Amino acid sequence: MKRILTAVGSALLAALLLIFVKNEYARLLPVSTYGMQAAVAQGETENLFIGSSMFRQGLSIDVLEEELPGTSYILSYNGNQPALMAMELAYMLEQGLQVTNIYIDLYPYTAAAAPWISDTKILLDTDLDFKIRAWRLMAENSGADFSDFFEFFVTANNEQLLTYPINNRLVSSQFRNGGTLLAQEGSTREELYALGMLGSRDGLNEAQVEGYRQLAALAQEYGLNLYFLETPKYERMYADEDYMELYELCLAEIGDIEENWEGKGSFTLICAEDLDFDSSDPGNFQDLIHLSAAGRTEYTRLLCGAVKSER
Amino acid sequence: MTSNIMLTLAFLAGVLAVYYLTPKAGRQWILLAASLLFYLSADPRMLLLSGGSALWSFAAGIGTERAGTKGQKKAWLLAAVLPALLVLFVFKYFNFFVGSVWSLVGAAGLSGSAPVLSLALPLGISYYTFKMISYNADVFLGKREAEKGISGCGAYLTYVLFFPQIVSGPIERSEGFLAQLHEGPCYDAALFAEGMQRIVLGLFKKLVIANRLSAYVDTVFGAPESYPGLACVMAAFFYSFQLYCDFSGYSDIAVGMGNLLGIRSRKNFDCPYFSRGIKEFWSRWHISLSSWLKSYVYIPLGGNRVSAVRRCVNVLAVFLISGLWHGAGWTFLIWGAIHGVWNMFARKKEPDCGPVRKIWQTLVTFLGVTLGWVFFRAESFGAALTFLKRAVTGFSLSYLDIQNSILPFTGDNTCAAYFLTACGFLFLLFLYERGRVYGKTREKGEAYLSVFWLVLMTLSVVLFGVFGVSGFLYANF
Repeated sequence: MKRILTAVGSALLAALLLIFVKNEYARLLPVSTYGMQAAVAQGETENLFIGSSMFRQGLSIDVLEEELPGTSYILSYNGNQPALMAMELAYMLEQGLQVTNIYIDLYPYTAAAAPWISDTKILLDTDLDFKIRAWRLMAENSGADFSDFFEFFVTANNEQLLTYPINNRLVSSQFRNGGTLLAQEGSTREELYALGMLGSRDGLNEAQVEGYRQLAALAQEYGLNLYFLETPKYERMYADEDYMELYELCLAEIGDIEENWEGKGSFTLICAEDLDFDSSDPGNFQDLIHLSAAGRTEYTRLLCGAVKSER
Repeated sequence: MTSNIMLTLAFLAGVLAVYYLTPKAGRQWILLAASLLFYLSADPRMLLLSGGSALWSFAAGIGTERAGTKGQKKAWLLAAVLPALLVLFVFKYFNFFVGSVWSLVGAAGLSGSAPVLSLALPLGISYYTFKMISYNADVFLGKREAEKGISGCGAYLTYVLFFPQIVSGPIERSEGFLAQLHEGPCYDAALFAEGMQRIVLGLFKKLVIANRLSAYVDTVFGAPESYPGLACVMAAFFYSFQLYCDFSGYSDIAVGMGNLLGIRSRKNFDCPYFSRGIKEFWSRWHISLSSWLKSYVYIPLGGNRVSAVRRCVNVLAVFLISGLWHGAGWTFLIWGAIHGVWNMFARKKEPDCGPVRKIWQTLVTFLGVTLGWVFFRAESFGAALTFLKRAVTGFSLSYLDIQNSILPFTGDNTCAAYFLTACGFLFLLFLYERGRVYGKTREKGEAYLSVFWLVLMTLSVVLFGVFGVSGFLYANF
C-alpha cells in the first residue's frame, strides 16, 4: 500500500515539475518556421504582420519578400484576437525583436469575440508570465472555468512536445517566415453559396477594442508605422448585414484610434474595398473568409502596391 | 455524475470516508445509501422502477425457495424473470421490434405509422436485469439460498444497484458479492492498493486512449465517403481499441472502486486482443456477460450435450441474444450472427504451435473481430457496407491519402502529433498487456515493474488525459 501511494505521489510530483518546465521553457526548443519564437529568433524584421488565419491564408510570403523592401514575417494564429495580438506584440518587443512596420489583421469577428486563446501554439511560444496574463484576461472576460485552466496549463501542447522531433519537422516544412507554403485550391460559386454564414454577434467586445488601442499605443511607444489591413472576403460576406454591422463598428473604432494617433510613424488603414481585388471570383477563395493560393498571390500584390504608394 | 468519471471518483472518496468510519456491520447500509444516492442523482424517476424491480426479484427469490413443488418453483421463477424481461423489452426493444414489424407491413403494401414509445432508458437496466435473473435462476436451481429479512433485502438491493457497477457493469454474480456483504467488508491494505492500481489503469485506458480516439472514429464513421479508404481502415482499427479501452477501462475502474470498498470482483477483461481464436476471445472479452450467457442460456438449452446441429443453433442463439443485449438494432443482430457463425466452426482451443503461427492466429482473430465491430459501430447495415466498400475501393497509400487520413484527428496541423501520440500510447498498452499475457518476471521484478507502470500511467493520465469526452460507450447498452 505504501509503495503504491509513494508511486502515485511521485508521479503527481513529477507531473507538477513537468508542467512547470513546459510552461516556462518549452519556448526554448529549437525554433520552427512560424510563431512568435521564430520571429523573435530572427532578431529584426522590417515588416511584421500579426493576425489570424486571415493572414495565414491571405498573405503570400513569396510576394511580400519580392515586393516590400526588407524582410517580412507573418505571425498568424488561428482565431487570433486583437487583445491577444497586443500581448503578442508587447511580448516580442520585450524579447528584443526590432520592427519597422507593423500590420494588424482587421477581422471584425475576432473583435467581437470574448478574449480566448483559440490556438494553443501561442502557449508553446511564450513564457509562464505571458500565460498567466493571458489566463487572467480570459478568466476576467470570458468566464473560463477549472477545466479550461487545466487544459491551458496542463494538457495543452503535450502531444506536440512528446512528438516534437517528428512533428516540428513536419509542420515547419509547411511554413517560411510564418507564411504558409501550402497551395489551397479555389472554390466554385455553388460551393461558396452552399456554406453557412457566420452568424451575428452582440457588437464589439470591449477587451478587443482595448486590444486595438494597446496595439496603437505600442506602435507609438516604439515609433513604428502602423497598418490595419482587412483581407478580402467573398462577396456574400459583404452582402451580410451582421458582418457589415461589425465591420462598420470596427472601422469607427479604428477611426477613433487614428484621430488620437500621435506616433512618429504613419497610421494607415487598407480595406479590401480600397484595392482592385475581385471579391466575386470564387476561384480566389477557399471558403467565405479565406483566400485560395491564387487569391492570396493576387491580394498580396495589390496590397504591396498600396503600401508602397502610401509611403 | 454517471457520465463524468472524475465526479464519480470524487463521490467515491466521500463515500469511503464515511464507509470506513462506520462499524463493519453497518457498512452495507452505507453502500446501499450511496448506491441509491448515486442512482437518484442520475435518474430520480427511474429509481422507483429499478428499486421496485429489485424488491420484486428479492420477494420472488423467497417465494421460489419456499415453494413446495418444482412447478411452483418454476412459476415463481417465471414471475421473477418475465416482468424483468418485459420492463427491459418495453424500454429497450419495443421501438425496434414494432418498427421492424411495421417495415414488414409496409413492404407488404399496407400503410400506417408505427407507434413509438418516447422513454428514456433507465440507468444500467441491461446490467441489473441480468443480475436479477441470475440471482433468481440460482435460487431456482438450488445453487444458493434466497436472501431474507431486512438485512438480506438491503444487501440484495445493494447488489443490484451497486453504484460502481451500475453504469457499465460488470454483471457480477450474486454469490460472491452477497457473501462479502454479509461478512462485512473490511479494510484490506493489499486489496486497497490493488484497487488503486486498477483505477489508474482504467483511467489510462479511458482518458488517454479511448477518449483520444473517439473524435477520429466519430468523424470518419460519420462520413466515410469524405475520407480516403485508408482513413476508414484506420478508423475501424481505432474503434476496436477505443471500444476495448472504453469498456475495459470502465470495468477496471468499477472493480477498482469495489476493491477500495473492500469488495473483490472477478475481472471482466483479460487482454482479449491477444486471443488466438474466437472462442478464446470470448473467454477474455466481457467475461461477466459471456459467462452469464453460458450459464443461463447456453447450458439450459442443452449446451454441448446435444447433436451437432442443435449445438450450432444454441451457439447462434447465444450470440444473437448477446447482440440484442448490446442494442436494439439490426447491426447488433448482424454482429451477433457473425460471431455466432464464427464460433460454430471454431476450435474449442487452438493447439500449441510456434511463435510465428501464434502471431498469425492472433492477427487473424483481431482482424475478424475488427470487421465485426464495423457492424457494431455503424448506424445501419447499409452504413456498414458503405464504410467497408470505401475502405476497400478507396484504399491507397499515396502521400495525399496518408495526410488526409491523419487530418481528422484534429482537423489542423496538430493532427500528426495527435496521431503519433495515440499510436505511442497504444504501443504502451500493447507492451503492458503483452507483459501480462506472456511475461515471466520474478516476484521482486514484478513489484518494480508494477510500480513503473503505475508511475507511467499516472503521469500519462495527468498530462495526456482527454477529459472533455463524457460518458462510456457501454453505458449505452
